[in-house]
Amino acid sequence: MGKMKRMLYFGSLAAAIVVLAVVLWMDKYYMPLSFLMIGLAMLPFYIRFERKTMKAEEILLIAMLGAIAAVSRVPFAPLPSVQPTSFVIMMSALVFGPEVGFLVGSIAAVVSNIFLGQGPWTPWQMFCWGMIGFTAGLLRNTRFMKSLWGKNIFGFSWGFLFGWIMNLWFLIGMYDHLSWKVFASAYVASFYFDLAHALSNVFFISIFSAIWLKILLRVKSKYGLLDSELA
Amino acid sequence: MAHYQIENVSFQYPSCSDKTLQHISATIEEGEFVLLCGSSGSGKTTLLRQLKREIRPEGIRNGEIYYRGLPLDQVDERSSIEEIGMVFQDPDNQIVMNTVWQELTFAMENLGYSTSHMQRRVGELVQFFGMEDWLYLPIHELSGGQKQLVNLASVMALRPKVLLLDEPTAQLDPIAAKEFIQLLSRINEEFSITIVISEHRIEEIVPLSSKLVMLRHGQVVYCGSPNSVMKQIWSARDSSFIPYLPSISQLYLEVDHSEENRDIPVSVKEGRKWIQAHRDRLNTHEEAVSAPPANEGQQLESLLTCKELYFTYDKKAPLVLKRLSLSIHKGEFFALFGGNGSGKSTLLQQIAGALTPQRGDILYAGKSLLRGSALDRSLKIGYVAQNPMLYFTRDTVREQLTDRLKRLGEHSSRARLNELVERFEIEDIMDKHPFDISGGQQQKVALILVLLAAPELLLLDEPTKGLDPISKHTLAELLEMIRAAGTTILMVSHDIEFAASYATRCGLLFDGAMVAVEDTRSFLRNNYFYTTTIHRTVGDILPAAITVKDVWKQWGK
Amino acid sequence: MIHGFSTLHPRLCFAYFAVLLLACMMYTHPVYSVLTLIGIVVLNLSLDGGRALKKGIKGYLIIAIIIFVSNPLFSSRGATILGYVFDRPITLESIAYGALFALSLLNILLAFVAYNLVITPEKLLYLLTPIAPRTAFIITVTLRFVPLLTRRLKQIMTVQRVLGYLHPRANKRHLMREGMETLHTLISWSLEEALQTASSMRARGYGIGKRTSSVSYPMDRRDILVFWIMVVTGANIVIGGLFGVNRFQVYPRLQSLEWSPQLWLHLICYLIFVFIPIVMNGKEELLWRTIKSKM
Repeated sequence: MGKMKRMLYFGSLAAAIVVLAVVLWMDKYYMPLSFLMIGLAMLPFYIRFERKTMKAEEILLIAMLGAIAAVSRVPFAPLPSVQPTSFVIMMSALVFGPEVGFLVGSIAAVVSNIFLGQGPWTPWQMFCWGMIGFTAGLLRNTRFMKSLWGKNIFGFSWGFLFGWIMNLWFLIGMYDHLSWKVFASAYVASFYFDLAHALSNVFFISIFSAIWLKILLRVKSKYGLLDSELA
Repeated sequence: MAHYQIENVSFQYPSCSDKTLQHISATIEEGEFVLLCGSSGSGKTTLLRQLKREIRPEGIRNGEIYYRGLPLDQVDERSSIEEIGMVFQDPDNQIVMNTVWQELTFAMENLGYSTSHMQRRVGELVQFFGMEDWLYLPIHELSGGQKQLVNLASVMALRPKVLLLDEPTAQLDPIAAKEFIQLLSRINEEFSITIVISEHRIEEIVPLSSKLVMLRHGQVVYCGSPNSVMKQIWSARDSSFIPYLPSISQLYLEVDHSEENRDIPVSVKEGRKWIQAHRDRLNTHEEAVSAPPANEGQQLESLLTCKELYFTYDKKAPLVLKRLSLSIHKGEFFALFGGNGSGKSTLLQQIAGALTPQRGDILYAGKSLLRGSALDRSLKIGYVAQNPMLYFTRDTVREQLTDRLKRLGEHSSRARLNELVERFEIEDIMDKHPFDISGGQQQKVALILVLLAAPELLLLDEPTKGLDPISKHTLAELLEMIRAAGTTILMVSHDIEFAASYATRCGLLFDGAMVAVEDTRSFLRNNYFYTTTIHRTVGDILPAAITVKDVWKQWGK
Repeated sequence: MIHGFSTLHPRLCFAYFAVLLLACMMYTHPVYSVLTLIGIVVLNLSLDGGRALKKGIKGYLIIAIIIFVSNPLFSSRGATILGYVFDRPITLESIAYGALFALSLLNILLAFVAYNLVITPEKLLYLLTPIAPRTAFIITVTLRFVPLLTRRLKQIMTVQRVLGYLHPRANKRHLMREGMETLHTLISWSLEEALQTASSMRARGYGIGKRTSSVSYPMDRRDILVFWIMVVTGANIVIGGLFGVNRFQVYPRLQSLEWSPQLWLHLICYLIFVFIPIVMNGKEELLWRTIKSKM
């Protein structure tokens, strides 16, 4: 494709999306609009992923970490409220950076939904777990994230944030009047689950983050990724 | 023009102080079947990887490898990928895609073949490999043998000129391994594809191979036709390679020093022909071998008794164990055989306490294990799984062992750990990462982890899988030592030769129940398929002989 | 599974569900919603006899009922006041709104049940490959790893149980610790082994150029026919939607149903669209019945 042609192509695509968004907004079709927005928010990550040159090792690393995040519930089967997936995604992001973090999170979501059944929640889950990875990766070199306290606060907040964002998908479309009361009562209803998520994050981070970082750092050097862009 | 010309190649990994390969020179002609032998760590894998550019490890390389007259680096990228195929050891690790079909076309998709081209090639391949029935299955529903066939087929899809195989049958059961090797021989015969294979289980491969290369510490020690290499090894009395030879060849070399100019027999068929000709030299009258086992006749104390066990994994699934009863005596080394999926490992896990039978009881020293405490059971009964990797959670061997010691608390002691470490000779790997040591060493560490609790009964799940003959021998010595200290051993295995040399009693599990339980000698003597190659060779002349030693004793001197 | 709709070209299957889901989200007209619900339930029945539907329906109904009940409690919009709960007016409109949106959510959820039966992972990846080849590839690889890792996890847990670390009566904290130990073993072991997978990928030429795909689904005559039916009816749906034929007003006062000729035309088009897969499956079913009765 020529450069002109490509620019035209992407330009018209962008324009179409904007028009569509405006129409949906004006007509108060908030639910399709929200899906459109979620899709757009994830698009840049995937465009970058598609275009970057990557070694076989890097692809496998992301796939393997995604698969581990997806199956990490298995050993905790007797404890229904424990949720190690976010922890695994966070640790991957802390070692391999924001992009890998995002991909591991969102791929874990797609894949676990392939096994459990896709639903309208799939894009939201991709977004939430992706964002846990992305934000953890962005902050990984700050003093805040280097401290155990920082990591714990981060994990705790994401425990709640995750639940709050996941509530959004049906709140947006389902109620005629989005008041604070609606949000508040949805959040009260999911409080127990969100708290369990936040607390298990804290538990895992405070006891196991050091070991995980060590394991992943060893992997990083074994995969020869120390001086690549991922580092 | 030689297919491969290896000229004085040396190689050193960046993290190692010694060279892994030293001054290797060899020529491989087109259509040759080359067998690469050597203990683990001798550089087989490293050498194989040097032969394919895409998978050469990082490190310092000297010397040059020529592929069809061209230095390997200068071979065109596409033809290097297409013409040189590689199959690795572990069937699971090399599969990338989710279904058989996707995996078969993976390589072709990478090289940008057209859709119709790929479909045609797959159509051909599937016929040749007989995989029509499982073409659309997801990979995880295949057996290990089937997975390895998929790997081979996926490489064959590119129509290679040479196949490199790194211990491809090490993780397979004997039947699947034989099938795989037969297929290799067909590929070699029918398409004249050059094959370079490294293997420990060489009994089946020696008859096929045209060249044997023996490696030790990264150097070629012997190289030549199988016949000449075997003779050289024997005349040098090279004990590090004698265990590699097929047992019939060992027997032949042991007894026949005459200068008669014939090839060394390597298969049962050749062995029989040779032994029939020398029948008169065998002392068939007084078979001294049949000395009765020491405690036959007297009442043996039973340590563990399985009473009419029934087990199934799922309500709707067929029964794995049906009325299985088995009694293990105190102090014995029991070897349990059975086909794939016969329930051997299931039985072992039930005894160990990982699974609970639906009906029946397991008695340990007269008391029911099912009703006893789990902790008590885990101290009395030790279980070593097939794969030692399952045991490792720490960064060094030392930390791993200390962690176990800490968890055991009063049930073990540092003195015991030190003693085991010394006896198993692993002092020098204590500070290494458990993944950076060899398979044999990993197994030792797993064994120590289990033995720290001083179990009275040790359960082993295929302990000899993937081990080279020397490591097998070391393992046997360790097991003898453990047994001498009073531990009873129950082993599940496919390795008949190993059991023939070391086990005291054997049993065959079939269709969910024990169909034969006898002392090793009678067990192997009465079997037709499940017996040693020596017995199959000389069984009709010397019905009691099951090992090389047995025949050797009867040889008129 | 019957070889009707499921054997249609994956792009058409996907387009069908995309339009259907969009319609579920955007059309609030009660007649449309009820017809959609009937259509989706029948589709589910024709696909697998309703087995998948049965599994999920309880939970979905509960969610729908919660929305139905809670909307009037949160919202007092609307002109027709029916009564008061905790001093808050309950209006007919807010009840109607709650009912309509509960129905539309139920439709979305049930449509996904059918979606999961028709759009298998293979089809999804086939659809994704031309747009995002690497994403499709990495999802395939991850899919392959999931059962492998699950099996490894089980093996590791067997060993832990036998070593006496995992016992059923242990407390929660202990179980969480041991669960993490399981994951440690899994992650270091599997990432170590994946290095070999990388070698095997490179050995077979991964990354030397643009990948092609071995799967092709050419459009057959049936696909083309269905395609045109979908285009014609779909276009009608869109046009009608833009002109607001199927608008239904809840606020400020509940609108009564008005049957205009345009609405009829539009409704029929929509019905034809929704029932495409059901007709296809039904035809297949009939075919087999006649074959069997002739034998």
